[in-house]
Amino acid sequence: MSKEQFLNRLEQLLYDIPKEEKEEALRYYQDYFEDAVDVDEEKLIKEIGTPEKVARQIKVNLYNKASKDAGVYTETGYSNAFYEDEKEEIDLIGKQQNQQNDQQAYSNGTYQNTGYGNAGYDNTEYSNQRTKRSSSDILLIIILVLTCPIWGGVGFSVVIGLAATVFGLTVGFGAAFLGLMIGGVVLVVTGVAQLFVNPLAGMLLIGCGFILLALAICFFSIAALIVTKLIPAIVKGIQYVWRRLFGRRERA
Amino acid sequence: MIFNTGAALLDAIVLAVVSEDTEGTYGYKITQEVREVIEISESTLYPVLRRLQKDYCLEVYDKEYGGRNRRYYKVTDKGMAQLSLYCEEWKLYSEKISNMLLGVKTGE
Repeated sequence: MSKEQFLNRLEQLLYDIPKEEKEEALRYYQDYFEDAVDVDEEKLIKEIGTPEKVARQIKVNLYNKASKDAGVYTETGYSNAFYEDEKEEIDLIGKQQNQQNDQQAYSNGTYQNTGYGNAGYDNTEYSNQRTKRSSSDILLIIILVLTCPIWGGVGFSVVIGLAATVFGLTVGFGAAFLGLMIGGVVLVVTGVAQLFVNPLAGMLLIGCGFILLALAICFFSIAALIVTKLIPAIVKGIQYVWRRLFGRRERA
Repeated sequence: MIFNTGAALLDAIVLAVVSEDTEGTYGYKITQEVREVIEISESTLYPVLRRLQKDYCLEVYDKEYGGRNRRYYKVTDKGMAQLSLYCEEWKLYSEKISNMLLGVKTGE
């Protein structure tokens, strides 16, 4: 990058600061280049840094008086704990930076980052946290998109229908269980009574009563299964899909 | 460079460097002299100089040099007062730290 390119780029980047400030800054750096007679231009530019870095340093010092005291000067520039949201740009700048600035950039990361670091901010940790869609996530999304006519249009009524069905079945089986149990008990009791009058009839009644009780237990088990297994499974399934799509930030 | 320089300390160093010249000096020279003392990036100083100027600790004037106008920075009275304050503070601060660090038994 040449001196002219540097200054032009810097001027572009300073578009959003007051005119006077912009002119002062450009004047300063113009003078700087001219005064550095015994240094090779390219080398000088490398040492100063990128126009982006310079522009940001200027803006930070202009706009944030309160947080200035939190700032710290290192050999790679100026770091300030207040600039959390600079993280992404830091990564970009980190890649653009020349060698000198890269020295300490990715080491322990506290105050030693290129341009604008953050107290306690670790560059490598951040890039791990950045979300990347894994292939299973993508597959999930594709499936959801393909089935969207289902859960989008007709889906809603289907979902309600399914829910009603599950509910109905549970209630139905539960009722069947109750009915059968009561019936069974009655039959057994009557049968026992009949034993003394008409043994054969009595035994028949008892037998039928137990059959009913057995059926009652069956229906009860089915109803219990639905409630304890099927419904939670459905709920978990929904939670899983939801989390995979939207819950990324919560993962450490 | 192990110990990083806070904003106040850098202000102090800059004021001290500029005050060495009664007539003041220009940006590039200030930067080089500061860099002899602490390791900072060359782009760090402009915002500091600008801020000191706006706080009336430094004043600027232009002087002709080599066919162009060169901008000089000079310490104001307020700047000198601030610098004295920094020097006092530094004396206390560095003494305490030196005593602590130099008094450590490193068990050689």
